[in-house]
This record gives sequence, C-alpha cells and structure tokens, in this order.
Amino acid sequence: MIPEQGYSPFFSMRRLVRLALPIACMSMLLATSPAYATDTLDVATALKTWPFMNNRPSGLIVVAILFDPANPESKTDAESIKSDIEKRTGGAKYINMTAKLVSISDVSALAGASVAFLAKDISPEKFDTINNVAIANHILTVSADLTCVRANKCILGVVSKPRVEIYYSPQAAKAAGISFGSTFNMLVKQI
Amino acid sequence: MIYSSKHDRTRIIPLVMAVVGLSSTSAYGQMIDYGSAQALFGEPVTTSVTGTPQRASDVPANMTIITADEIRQSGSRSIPEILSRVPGLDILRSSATIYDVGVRGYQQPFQPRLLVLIDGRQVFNDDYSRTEWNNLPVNVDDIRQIEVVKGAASALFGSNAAGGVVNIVTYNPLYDKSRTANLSFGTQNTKSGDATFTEHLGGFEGIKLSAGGMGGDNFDTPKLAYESGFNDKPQHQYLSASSVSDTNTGLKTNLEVTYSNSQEAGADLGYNIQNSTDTNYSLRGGFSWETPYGLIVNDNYFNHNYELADFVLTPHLNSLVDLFVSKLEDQFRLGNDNTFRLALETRRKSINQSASDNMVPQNNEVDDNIYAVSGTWLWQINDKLSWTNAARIDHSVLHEGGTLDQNSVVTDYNNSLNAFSGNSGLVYHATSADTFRATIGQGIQLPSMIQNGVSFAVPIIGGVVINSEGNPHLKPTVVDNYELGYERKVPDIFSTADFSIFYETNKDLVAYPIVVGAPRFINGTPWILTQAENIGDSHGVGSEVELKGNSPAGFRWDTSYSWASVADAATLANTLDYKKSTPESHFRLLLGYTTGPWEFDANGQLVTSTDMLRLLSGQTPTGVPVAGYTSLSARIGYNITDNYTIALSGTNLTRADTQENPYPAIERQVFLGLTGKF
Repeated sequence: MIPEQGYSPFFSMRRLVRLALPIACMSMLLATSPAYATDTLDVATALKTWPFMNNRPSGLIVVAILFDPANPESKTDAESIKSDIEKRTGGAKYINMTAKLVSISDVSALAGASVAFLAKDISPEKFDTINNVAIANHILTVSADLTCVRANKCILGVVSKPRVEIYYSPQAAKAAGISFGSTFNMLVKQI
Repeated sequence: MIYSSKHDRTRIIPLVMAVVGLSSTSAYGQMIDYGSAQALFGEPVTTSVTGTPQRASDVPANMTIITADEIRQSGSRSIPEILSRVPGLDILRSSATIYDVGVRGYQQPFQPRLLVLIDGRQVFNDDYSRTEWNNLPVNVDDIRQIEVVKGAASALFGSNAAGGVVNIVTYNPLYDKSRTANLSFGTQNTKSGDATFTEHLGGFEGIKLSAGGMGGDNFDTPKLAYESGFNDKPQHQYLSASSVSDTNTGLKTNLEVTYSNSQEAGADLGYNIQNSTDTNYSLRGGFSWETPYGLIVNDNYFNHNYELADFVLTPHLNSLVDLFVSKLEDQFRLGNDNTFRLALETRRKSINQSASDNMVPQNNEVDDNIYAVSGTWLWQINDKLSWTNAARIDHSVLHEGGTLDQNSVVTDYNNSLNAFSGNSGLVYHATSADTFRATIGQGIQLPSMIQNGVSFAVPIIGGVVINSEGNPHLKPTVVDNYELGYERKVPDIFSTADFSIFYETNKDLVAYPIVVGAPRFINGTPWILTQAENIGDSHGVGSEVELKGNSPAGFRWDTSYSWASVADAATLANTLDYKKSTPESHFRLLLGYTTGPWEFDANGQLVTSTDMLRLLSGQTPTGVPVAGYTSLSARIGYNITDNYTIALSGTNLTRADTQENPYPAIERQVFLGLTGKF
C-alpha cells in the first residue's frame, strides 16, 4: 500500500493498475498484433518509388528482406516479398535488382544492401537496431507496416489499398543520407 | 477582388489573375516524370491546377484527363474532336479544319474564354484571343495526356481562362521514349503525316524532334454566296525541337523551339467566313533547381505570330503579335501539411497591324506589359481533407506606339490597371470511394489586343470605309463560378461516377465589332466606326453526370449527360446571344472493346437544338435555328505487330453531312492510318 502522505489520494495502487493495465495491453497489441500482411501490390508500389530517389545506386541493387525467424508468418511473408521482387510483379522490370532474406537476429547482414524491406511482425523493439544499420550503410528502409515509418525508424511506409499512399519520414531519410526529388516530396504524406 | 485603373478610379472591378496566373501553369510541368508518378500512384498526376504536382483525384478543380490510350481509341488526329468526348465541352466546327471549343455554353467563333497550353506554354493567340487548333506544333501520337479544367475555378491559370483551360502534355524526352510515325489518308483528299523521335544522350539529357503536316479539301457543302471564293485547300505544317537536361545535382534545364504554319478558312468573330494564313514561331527556355529553400522554377518563352486574313468584305488584313513571358517561382513545404508556391511573373504582348492592299495606311502598335505576384497555399488539413487557396496581384500597362491615321477617333491608348484576386477549393475524401469538391473561382477574360488597341480603316464594297478602332478602356469580363462535385468509385462495375453542379456569372461581356455612333463623312466618304464594347451580363447554371469505366474483360464505356442553361441581358441579342447558342442538353456514349490485337471504339453524341448567330448578309448577324442532331464516330484498330497498328476511323458516319451549326454542314470523313512505334 502506497503511503498517502506526500501523494494525492488519486494515485492509489489500484488506480495505477487500472491505468497501467490497458496501456500495457495496448502496447502488447501494438507490438505483436499482425495488423497487416505485405500484399503483392505493396511490394510493387514500393519498387515504383525507386526512380524518385536522388543519387540512387547503379548496378545490381540488393533488396534485403527482414523477417523474424521466431515467427513463421514473418518468414512466409518475407519469402512472398522476395518472390514478388524477383518476378518484378507489377513493374519495375527495368531495375537490376535481386533480393535476399535477412534475419533480425543478424541485422548486420543488411550491409551491402541498398534497400531493406521489413516483412510483417517485426517487433518495434528491433526498429532502432535496424535503423542504426540502415543509417550506417545508407539503406532505404521500407515497410507496409506504418508503425516503423511513424516512429521515424523507416524512411517509407507503403499502403496500396484501397488507395496508394506513400508515407515518408524526412527525419529517417536525412539520417540515412537519402533524399527524394521534389515531385515525390509533394505527392507523399510526410511524417 | 479589387481593380483600379488610372482612368476610372471610382469603379471597383474584380480583376482576377488567379493563382498560377497568366500563362502560369506548371512551368515545372514539363520537368516532371509523369510516367513514373502515374505508375506509382495508379492515376494521372498533374501540375496544371496549382502548379505543384498533384494526383488527379486530389485537385481542387473540375478536371478531366484524357489519356494517351483514349486519344488513340478516339481514332481522331484532331484535338478538338478528341475534346468532344468531355462532358461540358461544346465543339463549333465551321470547316474541315477550323474549330472553336466552348466550355458549358458561351460558345462563339474565335472562342476567347478557353486558355490552351502545350506543356504549360500558351498557344492561345492574343490577337483576337483565340486558339488556332489546326496550327498547333504537336503530334497527336506524342501526347501523354490532355488535361481539361472546366469553369472559372480555372482562374487559377490567369486571364482568358474564364471558361476553362486545356493543357496538352507531351512525352518528356528525359523520361519517356516517344518514337512514332503515322501516315493517314482519307476522304476529302485528306493526307497527313506525323513523326516524333526522342533520344537519351548520356543518361542526363533527352532530345525530341517532331514534324508533320496535313493537306486536303475543305467541305463541299453549300456556303453563302459571298463566301464561295474562300480557301478550299486547307493545309498545315509544323516542326518542333526540344531538349531537357538533368545535371544530377538538382538542376534541370529545358529548351524548345517550334514552328507552325497553316492556311485555312472558317468562322470568324463577325460570324462569317475568313481565309487566314498563320505562321507561328516560339522559343522557350528555363530551369528547375532543387535548393534548401524549395524548388526554384524559371520559365521563359517568346511566341511570334503573323497572320494574313481575308474577310468577307475586306481584303488582306495582316497582324503581327508577339508575346514574351518570364516567370520565377518557388515551391516548398512548410511542416508536413502545408505546400506553398510563390511566383513573380512579367508578360509583354504586342500587336502591330500594317497597311496592306487598299487599306488606309496605318502603322500602329499596341503593347501590354503585365507584372504579377502570386501565391498558392495547399493545406492538407488531415488525411481526408485538403484546402487550396490562391491569391494574385497584377499590374497591367497598356501603351500605344507607331502612328495613327489622322482621322482616328481614339488618340490615346495608354491605360493601366491593378488587380487583386483569389481562389479557394476544398477536397474531401469522405471514404476510399467517395470524394467531394467545393470550389469558388473567379476567372477573367481580358480584352484581346485587337479589341484593346488596334486601329485600321479599310474601304469595303459600296465605297464605305470601315474604321475599326481599339477601345483601351474596356473593362475585363469577370466570371464567377461556384461548383460542387462528387465522385463515387463503383468497383462492382469497374466504374467511377462523377456528378457536378455549377452556377456562373459573367459581368461586362465584350462584343466586337460593334458599330459606334453615326457614320462620319471624310472627303465625302462615309466612315463607319466599329469598336469592342462591354455590352452586358449573363449567367449560367448547369450540371454534368458521367459514368466511366473499363472491365478486365476488355470492355470500356463512358456515358455522360450535360445540361446548361444560360440567361443573357437583353443587350446581348444579335451580338453574342449565348442563351440561344448554348445547347441545353448533350448526351455522349462511348463504348469500346479490346480483344487480342483488335480494338473497337464508337462515340455517339446527341446535341439538342440551338439558335446561332450568322452573318447572312449586310452588317448585322442574325439568329439561325439549328436543329438538334446526332453524330457517330468510330475506330477499328488492328495491331499488325507490337510496333505497327493499322486503323480505320471516321466521323459523322451516319449521314453524308450534318448541320451542326449555321456554317457549312460537316461532311462524313473516313481515314485509314498506319502508325509505327519504335
């Protein structure tokens, strides 16, 4: 029991538990809820942002697809994304691109990639680690989960249905040394 | 909206040069990668409405975008014929090659209310304020999209966009590959050829060359007796060259030069037929530069037009019109939700008409210098709602040079005026399927250079001298437009439905030429003075509804109904008479189907009756009843290979000729064309 002296009676333990519990539950939901799955259209839309990137690398572009090895759905999603990229489903056939899977337990394997695509169910706790590697290696980070871009830990968040929307974090982009042209900047939603 | 003139300080007149202002549109437009943007967002992207890139579904205006596929499927190589598929547009065709395009009524020969641009450069001619549709330096196969903005909300573009704007966007040689050639042959001895070639140089520069021409016979349908001697062999040639460079440091530059020439006969603003030979040159250059202070855009162009015209009763009137435009603008974002565009603009247009044949010798020149500051603010209030506002201040100075005839009535053409104007539009994406628009706009129709300041005197039949003089004190026509729009996606039938209702007022309409006063007698010869005059007001109300879609099975459809009702002041009778010349109803039904290498398309239209002005004899035009009519155009295309397409197309197919207006009836036309893309 918390002593009442020096404390407002409002802040009883019972009240604290009542306040904290839903917050904790919501956090858990946010952290773990599989609110999306990466659609083929999401991948195609993400690829179509490439022409708008300034000073984009030439030659073979490596797209690293991050997944959580502890979550089978995350790996399945990652493999689906890899397949879409390799088949250039939806376009971007002119980009010389290859894809590889990277586990979040070995984020350092992102080095050498130009793009990091986050598959579903990547825990927000991993965003900082991913972002730090992306910054160090000037990697464009993309996800169909808007949580990452809204946290300014991913550069692009992609939504393809019901209407294509691109969410862009200038903060994350600047940190990674990546920028886009004016046309793109005026057409997307900035975080 | 405030206007003040040093000659009329007591009167306040709203004078609008909207956001993007005179000839503003998208100086940046020709620099963007439309193809990639459209591929990314799944819909066309435009800079035409606010000067900044926007998705078609987000623009705060009533805009229709005609895609390259739709242009091909129309089977037409005439831009006005392509525009006829847009609800709310009325086409006045007075010969094989002369067209006028009106928006929501208010149609007339030498249509002054529609601003026409190619890649943001004005191709609308300031002499009479009209567009020579058959003299545009553009290859139809090189057009990426045609953007049509209806209503005076198009005042975002500036003067002479009182009724609307058409911006023809061509492929960008820096981003697109456009290598195409077309040969067409048809009835009326029609032959045409067009070619465009683009090339990428070193990855940072793209060049484009386009050239083409057409020739044929004019329609053989009955003309008025006094018009029978006019040009029956219209022809047109053009050449254009452009380059766009990207230094890869955020700086892009562009350069363009064009030439076009046409000889043709068709309706003029006297409601009779005139011959004209027009030669146009243009030179354009500019840059866009991405800086920490935003995107800086500069656009400069010079248009030179020479016209030699033969009127019914007066031979060989020639005029030289020059236009120079220079604009500097800055586009930037402030925070996440606000986009701004600030622009400075200077514009100089001049006209010179010189003595020719038996005209009374004159050599006067009038020029109009305009200096403007404008701004746009696009506020993304939340994910669903955006609000666009625009404001502009203009200072216009009219000046006369050269010499005037000693018998001139008007001796001082100098005048200046200042104006402040604005626009506002809300776009609300209520759901993923529903979008609402509410717009208020004010457009302005400045007097043409001829109306403002050109003076000539020419003897006509009967020994009378027509003394046409400019009127430098004309008030601009002010058009106010209020519009509500609603768009609904209907995925179950792969369609989009569009509804709009509008109300428009037009104040101080200008008519030309108007006989002023009684004849003067000079050396025993009667001189009749004609000028342009502000003759009164008009207002219009209407609605448009359209259902458009295409199915995965290859079918496509576009059906629409537009209704417009115009009420004029009594003073407009026998001069403009928009009430009677506006068709009340216009139905359109476009159907198409693609299967394998075959494309089938048909476009049927029904237009209700009108009563249009025509100069049948004498000096005063009279109303001529025109019955309602139907028309059918169609195209069958066959892809011989991936690179070659052969197409059979035709217009007015259901009868040998159709009386669409009081001018010579429009004949049935059939064409066979071969197009190669490389």
